[in-house]
Amino acid sequence: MWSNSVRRASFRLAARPILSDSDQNLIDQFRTTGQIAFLEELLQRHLRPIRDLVFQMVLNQDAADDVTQDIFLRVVRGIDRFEGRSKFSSWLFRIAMNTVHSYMKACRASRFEFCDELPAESTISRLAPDGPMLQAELTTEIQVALARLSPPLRAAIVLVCLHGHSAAEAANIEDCSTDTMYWRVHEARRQLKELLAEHLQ
Amino acid sequence: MNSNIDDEKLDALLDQWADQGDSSERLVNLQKRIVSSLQETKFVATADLASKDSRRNTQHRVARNQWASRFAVGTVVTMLLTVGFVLPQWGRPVVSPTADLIPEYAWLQEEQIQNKSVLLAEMESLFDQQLAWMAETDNRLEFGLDRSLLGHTDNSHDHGRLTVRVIVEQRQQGSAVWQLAWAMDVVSRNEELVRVTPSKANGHDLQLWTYRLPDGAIAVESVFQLAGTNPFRARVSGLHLNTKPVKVVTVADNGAEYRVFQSVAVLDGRVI
Repeated sequence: MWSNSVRRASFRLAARPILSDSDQNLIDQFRTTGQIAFLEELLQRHLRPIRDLVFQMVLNQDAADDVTQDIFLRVVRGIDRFEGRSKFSSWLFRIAMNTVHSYMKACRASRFEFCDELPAESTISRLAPDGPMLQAELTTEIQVALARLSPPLRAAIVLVCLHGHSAAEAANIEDCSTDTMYWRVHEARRQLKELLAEHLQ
Repeated sequence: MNSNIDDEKLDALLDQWADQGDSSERLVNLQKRIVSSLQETKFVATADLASKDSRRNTQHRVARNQWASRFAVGTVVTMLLTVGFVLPQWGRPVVSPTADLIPEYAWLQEEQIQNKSVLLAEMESLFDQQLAWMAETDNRLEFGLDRSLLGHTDNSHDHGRLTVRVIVEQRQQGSAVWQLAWAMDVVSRNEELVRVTPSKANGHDLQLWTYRLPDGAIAVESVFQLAGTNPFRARVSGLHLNTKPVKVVTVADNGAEYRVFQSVAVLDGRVI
């Protein structure tokens, strides 16, 4: 009995992907073995940036969860189509942005739908008129400002300024020219500076 | 140069906002949810493989057996009939049991808004303009008074009255039908913190705060606590457009699912 459990434990260890494995290795191993553990590892690596990206685009926590789930299911269904010519993260971001744009298109009020929760550390005591409420107001104003940007401009500022993609990478994800991406980032910045002028003084 | 400085300030502001991201707990729950979906996906893939194997085996046997071959032809005919008659039925639009349609009662109708305005005017008169908020739930009316307004003749505080409708629906997991669990309409002043205490709301608890932005959007922060066999608590903050209901929370816990809709309407200028 004891030896069985040891065997099971060692099997689990063997089946668990090595942390240093590249994304490509994990995908290859999943394709070979069909073990979901390799996908879980990929998910763990990329969930936070993708979830952040989605929330920064849709500005709604519940919707961000739903869309993120949809993205990873699409990735798994389409993983055979990943040829390894680009980085997995670039491919993933591209699927993510396509899914987000589809979602936003489906929402008629995509430009201004519903900006969800304020910072997690916020509590109801923050509702006192003086004090941290100012921070909450600023957060709300930033979300309102982002919501006012058209989806391509929002995508540009999110990809380049918040996720650190180069203009060329962001252009590849958004399927536009690099020059267009430069213009979008510039225009998004201009509009945001206008909308948030009082906080930039 | 100034533009560069502004860019840096803007980036810093955006970074600060982005760093306030979601809680780890939320992320862990989402990961569990996705893994669970992946496992289901894998199960389907395995089933597909099994059916391919079975088809291969059938073909092998058919080659050896004339009777089986006739049976296979019959099967194919049946499949074609199925494709002809059943699949078009699938193609028809059907309402998904999980479709997130906004229930009609989540909308604040024009007539209801007008009635609230009239009621508000009457109650304010009754309470000598000290009314801070009022809430309607389960055919009861609750009031919150602000004694600091005693004797005030200035009605400037009345500007910015808002009504918020909160709808909580519940269903058992696996059930297609959502049922109304709790509904509440609150009328409050702009920036008024409203708390409807548990003893007055069947053990449910609601805290609400509204704030009108200069551009007409309405920021609402709310904390719901639902009592009962499957209690749940949620806190949301967000922006609303006038009268448009928004699903603000979806929770699945202990075999029950909840969803909360919220809609807001401005009462300004409606009372004559």
